[in-house]
Amino acid sequence: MTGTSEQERLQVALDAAGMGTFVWHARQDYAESDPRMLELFALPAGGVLSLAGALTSMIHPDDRQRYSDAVAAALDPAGDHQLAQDIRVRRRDDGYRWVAVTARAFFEGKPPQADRLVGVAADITRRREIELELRSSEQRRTFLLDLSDRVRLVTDPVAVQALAVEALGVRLAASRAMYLEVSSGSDGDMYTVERDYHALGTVSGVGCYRADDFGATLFDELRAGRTLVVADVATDPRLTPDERVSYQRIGVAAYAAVPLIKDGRHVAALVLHQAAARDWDDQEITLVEEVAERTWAAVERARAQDALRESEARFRQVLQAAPQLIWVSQADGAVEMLNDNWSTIIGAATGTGDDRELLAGILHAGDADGFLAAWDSSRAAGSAFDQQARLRMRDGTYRWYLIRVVGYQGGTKRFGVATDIHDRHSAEERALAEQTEARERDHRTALQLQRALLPTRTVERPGFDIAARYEAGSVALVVGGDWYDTFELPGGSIGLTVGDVVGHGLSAATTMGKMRIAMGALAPHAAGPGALLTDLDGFAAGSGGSDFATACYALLDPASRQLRHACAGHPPMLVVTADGRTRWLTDGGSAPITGKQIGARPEAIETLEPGALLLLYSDGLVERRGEPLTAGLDRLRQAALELRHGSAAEICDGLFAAMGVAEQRSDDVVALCLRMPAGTAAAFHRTLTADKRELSRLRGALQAWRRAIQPADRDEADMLLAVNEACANAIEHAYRGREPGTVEVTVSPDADGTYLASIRDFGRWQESAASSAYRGRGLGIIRSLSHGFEYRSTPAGTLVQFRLPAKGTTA
Amino acid sequence: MTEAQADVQISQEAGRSVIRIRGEVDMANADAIGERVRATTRPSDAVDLDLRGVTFLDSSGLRMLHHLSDTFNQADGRLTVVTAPDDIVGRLLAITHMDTYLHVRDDPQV
Repeated sequence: MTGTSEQERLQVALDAAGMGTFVWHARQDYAESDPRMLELFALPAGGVLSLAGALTSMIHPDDRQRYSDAVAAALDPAGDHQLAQDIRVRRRDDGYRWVAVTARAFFEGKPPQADRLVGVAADITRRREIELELRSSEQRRTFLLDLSDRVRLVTDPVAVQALAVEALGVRLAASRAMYLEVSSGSDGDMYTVERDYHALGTVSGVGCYRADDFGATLFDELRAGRTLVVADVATDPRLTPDERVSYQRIGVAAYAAVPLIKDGRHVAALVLHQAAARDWDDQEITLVEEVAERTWAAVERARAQDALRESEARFRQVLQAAPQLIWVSQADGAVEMLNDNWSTIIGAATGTGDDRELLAGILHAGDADGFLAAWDSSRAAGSAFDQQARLRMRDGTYRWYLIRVVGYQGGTKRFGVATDIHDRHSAEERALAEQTEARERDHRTALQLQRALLPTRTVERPGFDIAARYEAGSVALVVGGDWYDTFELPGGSIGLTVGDVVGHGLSAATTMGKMRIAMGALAPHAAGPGALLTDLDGFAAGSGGSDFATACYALLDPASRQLRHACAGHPPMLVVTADGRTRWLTDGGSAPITGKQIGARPEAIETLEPGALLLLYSDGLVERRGEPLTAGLDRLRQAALELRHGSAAEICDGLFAAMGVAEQRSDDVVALCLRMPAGTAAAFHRTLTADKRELSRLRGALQAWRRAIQPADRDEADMLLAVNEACANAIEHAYRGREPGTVEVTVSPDADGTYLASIRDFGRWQESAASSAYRGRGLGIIRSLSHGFEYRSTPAGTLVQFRLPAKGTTA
Repeated sequence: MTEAQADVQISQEAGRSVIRIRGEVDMANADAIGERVRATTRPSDAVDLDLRGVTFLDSSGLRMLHHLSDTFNQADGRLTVVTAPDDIVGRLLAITHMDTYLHVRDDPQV
C-alpha cells in the first residue's frame, strides 16, 4: 500500500517535469522504458530501447562518441557511477531534440560487475535554444562594442568603412562585404565602394557602379528602406533571369543587402556576398543591420571632424595673417591659441590662463573696472562682447583697441579680436573736445549777452510784491532765448511779460534782447496787450528775421485790480487766490509770433482778487521730456498752490525747486510772479476792558483778522507787538486809581499795503506817567516797528496812532 | 506751573539749572514768571533761561528779564537767556538792544 502510493507520487512528479524513466540492463543491452521515455527517443509504444540502437541511428552523429564514452565511464566500478549527458536525439520529423540523460549505475557480484543504469531523461531542446540565443546575442554585443571601440580611434572615413566591412565579413564568413555610398549623378544614382572585404580567392568589389546595373529588384527594395536577403540567386523567385545571370557572372550565389535611409533619402548600403548558396539566419541579418547603422554614424562623424580640422587649419592661417590681436579660447576661457601679434605687439607677458586674465593683465587702469564688469555680464548673458579699452603695448604705452568676442562651434569656443582704433579714437576725441570747447565759448558769450539783455530789476510798487527768476540752459546744452520784463506805464499801470525766442545760442539771445526792448518801447504806446503783441508782429517782420517766438503780456491797473492780458502761443498765465483757488488765463490767446502780420491779436480782461498771485513763466518750467504738457501744467498748479503764502521771490525759487529745474533743465527757464496787495479789507475793531488779562485775547483776534488778508510773516509779529505795547500803556496808565474803563483798538489796511493802527482810551494820564511810558521801553518798541507815531492826549482821553509798514519796508 | 498763557519748567541738566518757558509772556504774567524763577533758583548759580518756546514777549517780559539778570549779576551768578536764531524773542532783544545787556546764547537745538 505504502509502496504503491510512493510509486504513484513519483510518477506524478515525473509527468509534471516531462521526464521519462528507464532501467537499462547492461549485460543484455536492454532498457525497461516508460512511455514518455519511448516518446523522447521517437520509439512507438512497446518499442525497445537499446544503447547500440541509440548509438547507431537515434543519437546525433556528433554526440555519439561522447555519449558512448560517458556510459562506459559510469559503468566503471572505480568511477563515480554517475551519468549526466545532454545529447541530440533524432525526432520522427528528421530534426533533433536535446535530451538530458541522468542515471546511476548499480553493480553485482565480486568483483563487482556493472549490472544496470537507473535513470531519467528530459527534453531540454527549448532550454538549449534559449541558452544558444543568449550566447550568440552576447557574442554579437561584444562584437559590436569591439567594433565601435576600434572605429572610434579611426579618423579617416574610408578607413572606418574598411574596418567595419572586414570585421563583419570575417565574423559572418562572407565572401565579400562592402559599404556602398550613394551619390546622385546625371545618369541616375551611383554606388561607390571605397574599400571592401573579400575572402581569399574572391575579387575585390571596390569601384563605382551604376545603381541600375544590379537590377531593379535589389535597388527598388533598398530605396524603399527594406533589407533584401537572397539565399540562392539561382532559385530566388524575386530575381529576373537577367539578374540571375549577372550575379552568377560575378560569382555571387547568395547575398544580403541592408540600406541606410537618412532624412528620407537612401544614402548608403552594406552588402554581403556569398560565393555559394547560403541560408542567412535572422541573427546574422540583424548583425548586418546593426553594423550598417554604426558604420554610417562613424563614417559621418569622421567626415565632420575632417571638415572641422580643415576649416580650423584654414582659420588659423587667416588669424596669423590678420593685423589684429586674435585669440581662441574654450568655453571656460582657457586660451587655446594666440596669433603672433600678441608677442610682436603686446610682448611676452601673455602667459597661459584664461582670456579674461590675459586682457586684465594689459588693460589701462582707467578702463579696467568698466571693461571687466561688461565682460562678466556678457559672459553671464551668453552674449557677444564689444568694448573699447586701452591696452598696454610692449613698450609700455597704451593704445585704444576695440575688443570683440563671439562664441562659435556651438558655443564651445570663443573667438576674440582686438582691433587697434587708437588713431581713429584720438581724432574723435580731439574733434569732440574742440566741439565742446566751441559750444562752451558760445554758451558763455550767449549767457553774458542774455544777462546783459535781461532787466536788472523788476517794478517796485508799495503793496505789490513782484519778483522774477531766470536760469539759463545748462552748460552742456546752450543758452536759449527766454526773456521777462516788467514796465511802469503812464497812468500807474504795471506791465509784465515773459517770452521765448525759439532757438539756442547767440542768435536766439540776440533776438530775445531785441524783442524785449521792442516790447518795453512799444508798451507805453500800445492800446492794450492784444495791440502790443500785434505791434510786435510788425517789429518782427520789420527786423527781417524769420524768428519764431512766443510771448505773453499782462497789463495791471492797480487801482481797479483789472488785468488785461494777451498771449501769443505761450503757455497760459496762472492766478492763485489767497484762499487757494487757481485758474489759467486761457482767453486772449493767439498764434506765436513768426514775423508775419496776422491782423489784430485778441486780449481778455480779468479782475485779480486782493492778495492773489499772478504767475507768468516760460515753457522750460513745465516741459519734461516724455511727459504731456498738461502733466507739467498740473504740477505747476499744485506747486504754486502750496507755495502761495510765501513772498514773490520765495514763490519763484520754490517753483524752480518743485518743478525740478536744477535736475531737468535743458532749456532756459523763467518765472515771474506778482502778488496783489492784501487790499482794503474791513478794518480791525475791538473794544476791550482796560485789564492786562485782555491782551492775549486781543492779540489772538488781531492775528486771525490779519491772516484772513495775508499770510503769516514777520510783519505779523511786529503788528501784534506794537499794538500790544500801545494797549499795555493804556491799561497801565489811563485808569490808574480809578475804575477801569475801556480801550478801543482799530487797525485799517490801506491801499498801499500799510496799516494804520489807532489805540484810544478814555482815561486821564498823569503827566509823569505819560512821559515815562512813552520814554520807556514800550514806546521804543513801537517806534522801531512803525512810523508816523502820534500821541494826542486830551482830558477826554488819549489817542495813539502809528503806521505799520507794507511788506519789505520795515526799518 | 502755569502762569496764565505760559508754562514754566525747571530741571537740572549737566549740573546747571535750566528753566524752560513756553507760551506767551506779557504784562499779565511776566511778574509772576519772574517770581517763580526767583523762588526756584539761587542767584549765585549759573542758570539757563530757555525762551525758545516763547511765542510772544512784550516790554513787561523784557523788564522781568532785566530785573532777573540784575539779581543774578549782583549775587555773582549768571543768567543766560537762550534763544533760537532769528526767533521772536531774539528779534525783540535786538530791537531794544537788550541783547547787549543780557547774556544771550543762540542755540538752534531744542
